Amino acid sequence: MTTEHYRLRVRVDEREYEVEVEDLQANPVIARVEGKTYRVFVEPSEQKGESAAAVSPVVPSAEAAAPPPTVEAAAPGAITAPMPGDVVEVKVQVGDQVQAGDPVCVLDAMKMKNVIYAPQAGRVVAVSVTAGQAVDYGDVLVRLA
Amino acid sequence: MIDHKELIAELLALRQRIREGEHGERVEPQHKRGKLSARERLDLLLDEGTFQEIDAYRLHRQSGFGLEEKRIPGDGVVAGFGKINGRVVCVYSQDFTVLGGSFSEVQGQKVSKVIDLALDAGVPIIGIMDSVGARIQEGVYSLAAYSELFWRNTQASGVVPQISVMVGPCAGGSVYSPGLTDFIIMTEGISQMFVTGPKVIEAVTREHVDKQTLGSAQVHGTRSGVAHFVAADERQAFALTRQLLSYLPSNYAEMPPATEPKDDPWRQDETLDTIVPTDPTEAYDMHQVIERIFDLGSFLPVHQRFATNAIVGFARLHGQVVGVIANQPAVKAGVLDIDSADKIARFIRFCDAFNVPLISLIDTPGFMPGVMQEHGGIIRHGAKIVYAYSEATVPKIAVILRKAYGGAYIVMSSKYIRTDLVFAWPTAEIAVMGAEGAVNILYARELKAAEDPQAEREKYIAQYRQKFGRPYYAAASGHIDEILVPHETRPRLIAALELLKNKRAQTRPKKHGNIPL
Repeated sequence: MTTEHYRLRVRVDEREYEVEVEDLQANPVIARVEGKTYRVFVEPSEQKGESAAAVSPVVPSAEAAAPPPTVEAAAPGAITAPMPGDVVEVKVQVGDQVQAGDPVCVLDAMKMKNVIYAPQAGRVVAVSVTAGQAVDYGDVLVRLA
Repeated sequence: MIDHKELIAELLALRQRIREGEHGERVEPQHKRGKLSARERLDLLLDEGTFQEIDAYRLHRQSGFGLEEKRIPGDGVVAGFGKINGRVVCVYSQDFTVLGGSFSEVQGQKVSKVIDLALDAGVPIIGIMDSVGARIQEGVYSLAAYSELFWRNTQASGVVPQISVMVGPCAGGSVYSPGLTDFIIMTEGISQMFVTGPKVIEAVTREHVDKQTLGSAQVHGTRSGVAHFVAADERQAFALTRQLLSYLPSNYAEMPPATEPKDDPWRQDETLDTIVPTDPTEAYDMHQVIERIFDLGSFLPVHQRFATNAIVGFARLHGQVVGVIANQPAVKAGVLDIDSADKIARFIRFCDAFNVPLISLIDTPGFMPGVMQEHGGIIRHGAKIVYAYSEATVPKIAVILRKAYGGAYIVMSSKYIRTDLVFAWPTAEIAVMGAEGAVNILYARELKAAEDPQAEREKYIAQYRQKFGRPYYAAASGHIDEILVPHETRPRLIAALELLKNKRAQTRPKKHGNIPL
């Protein structure tokens, strides 16, 4: 394997970007575009198992990491408070379309403004809290459908 | 007289039958379940053509309940050794097509044999698990076989790395073999783990739950923390096993395998200088820091989706393997709680057992307050962190990025628990508690008497921050060893690691310690 960087020209729509990649075998692949560094997880391909590029650990899910309120699976689409705190800001309204990783709410807890992100894409069907409201572990903040 | 040619042909035909069955019954049923056969799995895991099988012809010796009709060579497990990236490992792969891969006396003897070989040879053990559990027809013989396995897993703990790859069901007592090993890799969709299944749960507690909800890769990777890695499919599970092994020594007496450095040791990423917000209530993503300090693309997170307020994993610094422990301010403010304490402590102990130096990146507001945490035993769980750090004799280096308050400062690799070098960034705040809380206690009387309590409070907060909101007070007294411009962190860590390369710390003679469990 060579240690030199790969320089690639990538055209997206009408613009051309110069992408610098350090190690094509790594996963995530570290790509630099216009001074910013991006981590790109490569999906497994048909090649044999030994390629490191076939490994693509799944992205963290804020909802899944929250403590379970019951033994049942958390209601699909419910975004819950990961810890007790005060809602500082609700960033979405009913009807909004959100993508995975979009901020939906800011929770003041442990003297920190904790941004709560959408674990998956969806449409906001309910906003259960308002700014200033205190919430407990597992309280539903927003529901997606 | 039979000639040699016939003798060999007979052996080869038998091998073929063992491999595939008379009519492909060792392979096809697995494919129908969306799973690979026991041997296809070994092919994916091991370097091509390196697998050396042993005990392929073993038959069980039990009878009753129809067992005498089902004597199949291998008895439901394929065992032996092979190579991964050129390094030898011992392996066993359960064959679900033979009596559901049920664990028998003979299966247990085969597994025990390869573990004993691994221990004598000082090579890792990888178990590929796909089994309905104990072979009920064998009664206590099956249970004894499990006991032998658990005993060996325990003997092997800290001697050679043990990895369990879950590619099927694993229920009942059998879960304790993977549970005893160093790393569990679960595969989405096809693997489940639980001590008691849905039917027993329903009978006893009247809870309705299906297998996936109870013990899927998703559940164990996010909530229980049983799974250290979650793979989307089998191919990924074995690729991940190979990748994990690239960071691990073959046994406790070896150093982890260094690689030819591919990244510039002097790379100084200036975006680090502004990555920590000066507003202490604002979060940032610790992954961005990790990515910029360690060799590019080298970080392999462990427990990636469990207790995400802490980050642990393997990385490389100038080609040398290190264990990274970090708080994650972007999740729950980076607070320490029961689950993150368990995650951190277990990772530290693995690293210490296998000579992996520890690099800690610290920014935590403290331990999570609350009745739930206290009644859940945060004292005994949190104590594991300080125990694990204190006990570890590998090189220990810490960088305090921002908040290091109170008990959390002490347990997170502070100088006094024998961290070799403690660095701080200019944004570091080292104090018994945050400014607001401290001012409320220290100046309660003054604030009550003040005409304008808010203005008074802000004045005291500013004073407090001046003293404790910077690292100089701690550095003036040697509580931290040096203050770094953030972009210097990579070369400074590499140099520190080089210094400590041959560190040998003495431990007191004892039988074993008593980590709070």
